[in-house]
Amino acid sequence: MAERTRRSNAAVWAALVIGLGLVAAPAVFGMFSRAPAGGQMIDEFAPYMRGGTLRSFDADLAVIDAAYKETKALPPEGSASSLATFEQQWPRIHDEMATMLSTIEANVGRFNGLRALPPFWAFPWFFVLPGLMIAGIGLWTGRSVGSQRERSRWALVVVAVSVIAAPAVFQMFGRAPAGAAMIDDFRPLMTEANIAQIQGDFLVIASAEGQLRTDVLARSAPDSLVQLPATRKFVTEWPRIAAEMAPMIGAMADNLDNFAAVDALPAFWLFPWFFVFPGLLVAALGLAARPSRPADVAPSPIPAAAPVLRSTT
Amino acid sequence: MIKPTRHALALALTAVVLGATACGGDTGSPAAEGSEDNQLVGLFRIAAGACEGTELQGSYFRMVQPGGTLDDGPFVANGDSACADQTVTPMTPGSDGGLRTGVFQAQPEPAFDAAGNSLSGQIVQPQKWFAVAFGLATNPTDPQAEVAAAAPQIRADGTELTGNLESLAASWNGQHFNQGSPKPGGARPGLTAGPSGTYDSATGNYTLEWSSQIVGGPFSNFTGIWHLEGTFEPGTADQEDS
Repeated sequence: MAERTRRSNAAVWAALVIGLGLVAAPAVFGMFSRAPAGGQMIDEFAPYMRGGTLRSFDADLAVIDAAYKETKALPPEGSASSLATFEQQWPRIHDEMATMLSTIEANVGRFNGLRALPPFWAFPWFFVLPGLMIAGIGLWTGRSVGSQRERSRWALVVVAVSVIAAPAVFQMFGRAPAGAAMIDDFRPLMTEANIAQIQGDFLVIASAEGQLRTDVLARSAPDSLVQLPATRKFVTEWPRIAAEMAPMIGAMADNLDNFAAVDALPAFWLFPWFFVFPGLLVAALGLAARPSRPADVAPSPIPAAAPVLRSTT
Repeated sequence: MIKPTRHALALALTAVVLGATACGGDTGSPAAEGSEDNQLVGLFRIAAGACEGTELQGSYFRMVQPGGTLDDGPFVANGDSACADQTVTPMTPGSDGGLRTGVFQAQPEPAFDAAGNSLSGQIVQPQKWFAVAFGLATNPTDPQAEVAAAAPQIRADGTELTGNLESLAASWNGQHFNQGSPKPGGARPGLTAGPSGTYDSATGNYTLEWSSQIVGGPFSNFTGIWHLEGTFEPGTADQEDS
């Protein structure tokens, strides 16, 4: 009987330790700062993670590409000109931007899944609050006897089952691995070197547009044989294209640190299991804490440093 | 409690008056007319920039690419610059004639037209930059960093100018870029430096230059170099407000 009581008490204290572990986990993983950073990134990327927006960017690339093909057929403007640089670099720029857009487009669904999760800033509290409940109930169970201990033990099991169920309720088993895949896909894009490259590419396009507008088209009168319709369309639409591209580049540049913070979190696919495993353990410990007969159970020895609960009645 | 005697009060007042007179002894100069603790409060009227061949005169703007230096660039070429060297964009004085110190020349509301051109035209006339016009304003709340900023301050130490232009922001294509030095809060990231310049108190002629690295946004880590020159016209903060 004493052995059984000892095992029951050990199970209760083990559950308490797991609860404290859950409380400590967000601090250990730096989630209090990283999770809000992830939330900010999600908010700032949201305008660009839409099919319509991305199709508009695709159409913009097509406008620029048509102008490139048209101007490439013109006599050379000089090797040092903005247009020459554009003609030299556009095939690479086009390939890289198209790849980037298709990568982003492929992750729209995953992004929306992440966005449908509870707010990122709340993530640490999904560990802290159940952890506090488990630790508190564990303490209560450890200090209880008889029917009170039985009730608290079942309360522990109920909380544990809730923790196990949480990932399923929030569809984390699908969304978290998808989020991990999105982070993997975005990792090559969200580097300082890549952002600098995109900024430079933007200027190559912008400089070429300037030369086409102020020089090439200025020399090509509307009634001349060289009409350059694709170039005129590019020049006409450039302010709008620039107004769409610039904020997107800005959003990427502004979120480099936020992305790094999210990337430094444990892999997203692990997150459901951060709930399931502790929940299973606590549930099992709660069940294992069952005494042979409630009346036989003595209060477990309380560590000297444990808080003393005083009744006011 | 010790009460000052009438004699001691008179002595103290005399000392204050004498001290103030000594500090403001150069009252005939434009600097002193607009100054408080050597502060030049008034209008830094801008001489328009102009390019003649390879020569550049007056006020201008240029932008250093990330990783570059203030002296050697590489600089961003603005296809809309009228200069042979398109890395410099000449500036033309705006509706106020230039940059005011001691007060803000805040951006209008809305700050842009439908095409994204800046409507901030008090300091300089909006200038085309990659097909879309940029403007300058000094705002009590920086529109990019969204933090409070102080009104422009320039002080003269002899013929040398220093100061604080943290509230200066450029606006372009729906975007805002703090272009002050220091930045709001006092930081000087990257190539941010100045303002510094020269001042001739007899004529009011000045040159003022500063650089400001962009923090965040599509041109993050690019650095704007601003060169103003012209004539300082003293005023008071009250006059500037009115």
